[in-house]
Amino acid sequence: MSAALPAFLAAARTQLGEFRREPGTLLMLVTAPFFAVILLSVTEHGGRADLAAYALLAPAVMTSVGMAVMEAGESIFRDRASGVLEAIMTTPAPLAAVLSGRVAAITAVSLLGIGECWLVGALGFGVVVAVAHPLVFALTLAAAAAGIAATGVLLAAVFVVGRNVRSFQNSLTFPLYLLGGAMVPVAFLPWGFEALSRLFFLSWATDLLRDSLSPGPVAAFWPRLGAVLGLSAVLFAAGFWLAHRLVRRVRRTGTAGFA
Amino acid sequence: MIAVLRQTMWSGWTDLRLVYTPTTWAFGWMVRVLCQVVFYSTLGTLLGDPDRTRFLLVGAAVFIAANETMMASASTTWERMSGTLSLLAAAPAGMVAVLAARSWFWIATGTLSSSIALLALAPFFGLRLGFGESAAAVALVFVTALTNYAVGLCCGSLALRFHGLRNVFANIALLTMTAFGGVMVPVAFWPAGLQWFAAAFPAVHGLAAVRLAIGGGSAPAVLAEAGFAFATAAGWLAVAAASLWWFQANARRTGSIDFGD
Repeated sequence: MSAALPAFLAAARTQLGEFRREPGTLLMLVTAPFFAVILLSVTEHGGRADLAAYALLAPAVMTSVGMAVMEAGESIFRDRASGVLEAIMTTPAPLAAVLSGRVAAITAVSLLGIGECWLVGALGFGVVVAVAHPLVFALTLAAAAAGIAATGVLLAAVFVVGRNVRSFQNSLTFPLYLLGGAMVPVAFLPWGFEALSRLFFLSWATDLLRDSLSPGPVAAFWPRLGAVLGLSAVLFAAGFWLAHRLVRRVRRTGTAGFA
Repeated sequence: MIAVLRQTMWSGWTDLRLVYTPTTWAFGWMVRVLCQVVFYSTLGTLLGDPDRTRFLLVGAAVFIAANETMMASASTTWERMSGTLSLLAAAPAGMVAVLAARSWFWIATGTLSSSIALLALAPFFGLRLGFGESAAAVALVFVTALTNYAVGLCCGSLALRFHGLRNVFANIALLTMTAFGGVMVPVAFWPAGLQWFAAAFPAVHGLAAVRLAIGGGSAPAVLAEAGFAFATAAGWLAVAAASLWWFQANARRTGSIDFGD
């Protein structure tokens, strides 16, 4: 495992370089303010100033999840197309470390969306969202970022498996936003969907983030944070396991370029 | 010319079969479409306002047609990726007609997925549509997809030049329309300048026509909105054709067509 940390850091650096070289990869950060305008206009037009925080938090969460889903898939696709993936597989560095490094960089950059959306509210609509419970907000955000990165690692590993899976990539965002309660708390979803969404760390994280913005007390903070972390850990474990299995199979069959 | 268009449309059809298999369309794309429309419609539920829920449902569902036809922007550049762009530049038929017609399939799939989303989700969000209203809605969704295709082409002509930003133009155009075009809130919510700006987009008029048709609007009012959709689309189409023609002329003169990346 000694190669894991350098591989993680090198992958993160490569990903940051890719953002600089190809501005198109930052698309989700460009679209975040538009989603903020769209969602905030609905709550403002509905006369529900109390929901402004929901409308500004949602696009930030969507940006982060969207970037993890889209960019994780794209970076693997580019690595495969340029033959880098084959090279990675011949090195002692675990593929999971490389994927984690890339996704960690993507997730870190995607958090800029929070600032963008806050600014849209403040400058565009005169709506200033205050964080009532800063510690709850910070801890939940860190846990949510870990979960989003875990989702990215798992998806990247799935995308390595096959090209066909990639056609689902574009279709994943809105189902994840819906099940993750990005805008509307999952309690508003029909019962079956709510139960399903409770298996997804994001539904716990978005509920907690919304609670951290409102002045009332935050109920059962630690158990809920535990749910975010626990479910994220399961995703990480699944991603690592899949990446490990995949590398073993591809090394045996020699199909990295043709998988 | 007819032969060129026939070939182009056939090539578009084979592209579509590469993009989706029936399985990935049904369980990938359609699931996303339905989730997207439900995502926006439940905003109305959150606000506790049934009228708003129906407004959001219709806006989000009809704009799926705009969403898919904006993909013409990315697919216009597929000729570059498949290496056929330079062949088209050299061919006597020219590339304008080919590039303008090659992405026609998004109009078909956009109409289909948008109509399915609207008609399938309407009962769940308290929107009752009779047969006549449903048929009118589908026809006007087609008008929305058809006319918005011109906007997609315009973005595509830009994407040909700035390949790295090929998804950026289409997304910004789509989100601008979604924000200010009466999709989530009535156009009247915005300042007058933005209302005029929104009126330049065909899909905004297409959506207005759908809203009138299912909301008991008069036939002349519906036809007027549809007319505006076609009129604005003609403007966008002219700009797209000029932009594609200029791209071709410039590419032939400088011989730079394969180095655009």
